[in-house]
Amino acid sequence: MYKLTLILKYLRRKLGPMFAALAVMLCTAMVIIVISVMGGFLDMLQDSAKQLTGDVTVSAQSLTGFAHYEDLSIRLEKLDEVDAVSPVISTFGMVNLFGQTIGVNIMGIEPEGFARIVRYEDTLQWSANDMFDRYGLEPDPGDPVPQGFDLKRLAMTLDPKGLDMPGMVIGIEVNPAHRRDEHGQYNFSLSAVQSQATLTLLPLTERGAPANLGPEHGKAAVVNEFKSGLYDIDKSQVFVRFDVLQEKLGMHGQKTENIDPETGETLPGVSVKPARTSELVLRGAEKYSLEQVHGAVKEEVKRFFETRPDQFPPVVRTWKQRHAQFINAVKNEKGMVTFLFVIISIVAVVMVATTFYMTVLEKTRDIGVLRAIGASQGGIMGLFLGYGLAVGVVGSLLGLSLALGIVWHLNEIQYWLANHLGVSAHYAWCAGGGALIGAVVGGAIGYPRRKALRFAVLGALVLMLAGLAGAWISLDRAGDLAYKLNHAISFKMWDPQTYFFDRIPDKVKFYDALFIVLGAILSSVVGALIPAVLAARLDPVEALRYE
Amino acid sequence: MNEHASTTSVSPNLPSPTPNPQPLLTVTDLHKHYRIGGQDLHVLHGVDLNVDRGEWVAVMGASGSGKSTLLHLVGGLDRPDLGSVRFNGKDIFKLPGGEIDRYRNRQVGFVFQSYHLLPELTALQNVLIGAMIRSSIPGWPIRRAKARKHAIELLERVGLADRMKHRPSKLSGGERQRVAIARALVNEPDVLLADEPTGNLDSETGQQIMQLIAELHQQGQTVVMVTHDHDIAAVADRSLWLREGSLTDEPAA
Repeated sequence: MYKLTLILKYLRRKLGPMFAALAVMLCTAMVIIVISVMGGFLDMLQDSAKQLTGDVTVSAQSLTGFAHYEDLSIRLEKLDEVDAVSPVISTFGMVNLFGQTIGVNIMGIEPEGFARIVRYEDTLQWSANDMFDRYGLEPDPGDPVPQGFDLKRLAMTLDPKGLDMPGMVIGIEVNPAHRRDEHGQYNFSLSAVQSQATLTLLPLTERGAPANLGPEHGKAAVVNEFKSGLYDIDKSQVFVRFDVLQEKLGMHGQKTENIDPETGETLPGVSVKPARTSELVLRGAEKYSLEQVHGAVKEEVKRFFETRPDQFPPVVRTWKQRHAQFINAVKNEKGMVTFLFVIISIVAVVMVATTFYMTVLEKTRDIGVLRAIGASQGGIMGLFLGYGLAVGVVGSLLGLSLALGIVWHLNEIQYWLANHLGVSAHYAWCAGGGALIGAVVGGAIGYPRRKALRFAVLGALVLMLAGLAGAWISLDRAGDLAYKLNHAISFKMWDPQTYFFDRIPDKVKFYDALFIVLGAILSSVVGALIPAVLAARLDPVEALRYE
Repeated sequence: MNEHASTTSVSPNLPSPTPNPQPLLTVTDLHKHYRIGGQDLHVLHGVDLNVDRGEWVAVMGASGSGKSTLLHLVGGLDRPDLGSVRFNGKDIFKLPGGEIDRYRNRQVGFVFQSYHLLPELTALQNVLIGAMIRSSIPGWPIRRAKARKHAIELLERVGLADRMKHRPSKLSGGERQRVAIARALVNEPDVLLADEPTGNLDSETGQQIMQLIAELHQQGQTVVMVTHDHDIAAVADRSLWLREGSLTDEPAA
């Protein structure tokens, strides 16, 4: 019982262990913040990648695609491991929008089938309400979604009402007018919805030769914009209907005259060119793991193409394999950064060890007294280990609180640092300067310390109020004091206008936090171990004589 | 030997001086040497000592004669090179693991010249700490009330009823020593081992402390005290001199 009593006393009345707890707190907070942010990036990356790919893809290795995909789809859908299959054509092309031409990856999808596999609908940026807001319209209670205005539905059908052209959903950064604001948000008034664009494609034959003499052009109407969160995807991808793209690329099934390639004579019968697709995307059944789904699909695809030796079999990959290079790069970064910060955190262990060693020296005589009144060696060791444990628990819980406070408000903090640091520093300088002037004036007049202190407080208040008034009057006016201050003094740790993601990840995973807190507590106990052993091994007689 | 007052009215917890053919403490052929600065310092050369229950023995000697060493050995705080210390017939240095800690906690109570109170604790907590060492954390809630009551009684008995919540830094030397005596008595030890308990006090305060120890002795408390003060030793039942590493009942010439 005495151990608990003394630990609680030492915790409250000793400055050294408070510093040790502070070190543990900062290290715990640092590691939680780093792991949460880096882990958050990884999760966002994986979510975005999976969102666009589905669980498993069966992809042609050539831009010409592969044939007999309808039969393969039917066979794959029959597998227990597979819930849904949808064909996708992926090709390169150009989009001319608002007079700007950019290279894009054009994906032909069957919107409803595709949405069963990936969260396509969730990526669509604009809703009917945006349209109402833009044009100041009120929804009609009888028909809340007027024809031509239901952007989500239009995007889902890729079928613009009243226009004789196919619909198209573009990545939000494909629109050259779009730029993220300082909050990382896009403005609907700059959206390309209902604008016309020109698509340029290069159709290929099944052997890979150009199918036409020149590229294929076609008009398309933008029915919505999508935002996956991955900048590279958002600036280079557009969706059109599968059948439209298939036909434009000449990948649809065709029947032609049967011509002898040697003589050029027309032979009886017709030649059938089967329809082609670039890939099939699949969603696995929930009760199967990704690896099981992948294995089953791979086996089925192998069997399917064994009977078609003339076909080059497509590649079966999970979404993780498909984006491995990208995801693993961030995984490596996370691992590396975490390792470095854990190394830095060893400082906390050394800090605890040093503090406890000093405490043992300081408490040598008390240790002798405790031994004299019956404390055992094990009891003394337990006292200091318990002390280390208490410092670890207090420090790591404070660190957890600090980390949660920072990570949950990281975006607000970064916004404040980037946009309000100047004015905040201005207030702080005013208050500090006012306090200094007040103290000097108070001292010069010859007031005693307490009265001079009042002068300092008064000076701080007066100058801070003046500073507040000056900055307030000029707030938000370009060229004025506040504007100049905030532009001159700012710290942009994160620019939401330029990175892959528009927000800093702000989630803390329960198990990450738990392991780090437990690790910090263990580190404190380890730090206290050697001093505890030294304390336990002190000769009680020598300890009593220690001065 | 002094007459012992009845213990029932003042301190029912203190042991009564019942006749016992076997001495409470038997020190036999005790040797102890230290190696200081590369030289062997033979402090105790075969010390023999018997202490009966209820007896007050004063051990006198010059500074550095080994008085404190003898007291530490009797209290099980240090180990001898040779010889034995028997408590109720059992050699304390041959007790199984942990038993010697229990011996220091329950059978003996130390009072030091420099008080040695724990500075973070109040007077009451300093007295209670011995009882806390005796108790485990789960056992403490059951024992706490009784131990606290006993500690308060002890502090009242040493005249510190109004100083219980004071920390040692707020107490005078005499008050600190009274707290130290109360701490030594909290587990109702068989022997009080006092190492020059008045050494750091002025003569008036020293006399008050000696008066307190005398009262305890009258109530049946066995006391072994080391001192170099002849007047103080004169109060004891028996005075012994530690000279050249051996105990003798012959005062110095």
